[in-house]
Amino acid sequence: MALPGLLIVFSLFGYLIIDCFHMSFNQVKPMLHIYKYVGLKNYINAFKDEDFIQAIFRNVVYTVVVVIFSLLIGMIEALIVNKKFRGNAFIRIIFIAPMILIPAATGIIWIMLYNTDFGWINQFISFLGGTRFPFLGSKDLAFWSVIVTDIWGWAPFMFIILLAGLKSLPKEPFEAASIDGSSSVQTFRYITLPLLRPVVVIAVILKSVDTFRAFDYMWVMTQGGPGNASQILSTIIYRTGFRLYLYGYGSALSIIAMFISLIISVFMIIYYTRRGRTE
Amino acid sequence: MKFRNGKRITWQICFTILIILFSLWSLFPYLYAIIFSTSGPTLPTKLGLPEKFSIEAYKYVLFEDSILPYFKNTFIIALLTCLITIPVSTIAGYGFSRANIKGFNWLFYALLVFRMIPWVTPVLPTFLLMQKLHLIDTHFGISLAHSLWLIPFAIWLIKSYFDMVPKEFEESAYIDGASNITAFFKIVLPLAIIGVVVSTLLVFLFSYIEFIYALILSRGQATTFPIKIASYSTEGRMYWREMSAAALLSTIPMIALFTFLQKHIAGGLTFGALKE
Repeated sequence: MALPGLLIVFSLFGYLIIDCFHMSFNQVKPMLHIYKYVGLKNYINAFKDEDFIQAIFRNVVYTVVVVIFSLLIGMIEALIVNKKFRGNAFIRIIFIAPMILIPAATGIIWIMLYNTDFGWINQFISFLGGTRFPFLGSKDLAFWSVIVTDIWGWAPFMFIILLAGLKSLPKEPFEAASIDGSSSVQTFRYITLPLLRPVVVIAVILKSVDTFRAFDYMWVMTQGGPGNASQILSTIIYRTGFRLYLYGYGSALSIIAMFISLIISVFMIIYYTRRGRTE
Repeated sequence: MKFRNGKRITWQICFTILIILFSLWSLFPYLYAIIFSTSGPTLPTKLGLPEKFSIEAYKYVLFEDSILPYFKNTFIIALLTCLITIPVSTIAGYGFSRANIKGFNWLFYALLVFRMIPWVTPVLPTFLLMQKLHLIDTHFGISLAHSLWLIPFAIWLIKSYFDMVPKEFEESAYIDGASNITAFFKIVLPLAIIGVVVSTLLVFLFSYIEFIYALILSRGQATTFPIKIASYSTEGRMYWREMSAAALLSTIPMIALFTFLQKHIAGGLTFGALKE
């Protein structure tokens, strides 16, 4: 049962990716079953496409910023919950809460939070005496506004992994440190952090891979707009294929995106395994 | 740790403030949605509580605009996905955990690579394939697409639980004359059952919230809840209160699941991650 199942999974993935490759060399009108071979034209066009090149860079920025900030927030939250205090279990559920919301729902709630009239963020700005600002309608800030939402939504993922990591650390080094009278900052810097390193690295790898293919928040909140100002890889591919119906071109874009993310993840895995060996 | 009294109190105050700040950060969108969805016809444009309280929006979403069929679709698809994914992944996970065949490990790493492909890459071919199979806008079609993505993930997770079960257990069963299959079902599976349960829940969750495939493979009959929610933001007229009411309602099943099984899910996630 497992082997046929695996066989189906592998052959389906193989079929889908080869089909994607095949389409990327053609001009495709799939409804009419018309495939016109155009060679590398789709790929050449892709690298000439300003919007696409920008989307690649934006995707990298998006991933780096989201991973760094969710790591920071997740780490602080994990350190808080790792201390003993009353209501600990309750606080833990509160910290996980953002992850439970369906991403589409998260996107919608944040659209409203950013709204110029009803949104708390703008109401707060005007309460402080500033002028209200259409965050999601702005070319400069739409992209960054979605980043904030993504950090909010997925920091709990980091929190869960880091907390479990903290809980599994050996006790002895901490007892020794407290006998030696080292401060909490010193303990964190010289004991917690080095011991926690493998967990942090794994969390960063998993989160980067997942963030690199982000789609939901961006699509629900801006659809890559205004204009193409917040287009990231998956939204530009989706728009090319399913809004502009350029299947061949869209396939070329997604093959390029696939290679970029494979290269990045292979580098991260090599880095990780090599670290593991030398330490 | 020993602090002088004054220092200790300052530390405690700082710590409490820190907890409050981070709780607020995690909760303020929830608070906002709750207040917003229960406010009367005039939406508050200044900070503060609304003047009126009403549950009109919830009534509208539940009975007039009826989101319930979408809930039903989502549940059917998530259940089907579990039914396809879990049996295959359980047995495959066991195989990967025990097999000593050369080259088998490479298959396991190939599964990891599937996790790294951007989900959007095979969207177009999947759509065309489903069209050929006449599975567009069916529950089965969508759950098939979900299973394809979730099987590698589930195998990965379940394998790490089987790795924890010592091989000696089965070996002693073989000596007692048990067959492969009896040894698996009577001895190994019960010991790793938590792993299977956790994977089932996570597969259910990921299918429940999945967006792209549910979006392209549905035309109305099999549309899932996330798509319905997203559609509120693109329709010409903005139903602000209804949107937040629907968004909040969608979280109830997940909040229930996570609150009951919080500990196991946290354990399961990390476990799979750390065992990589």
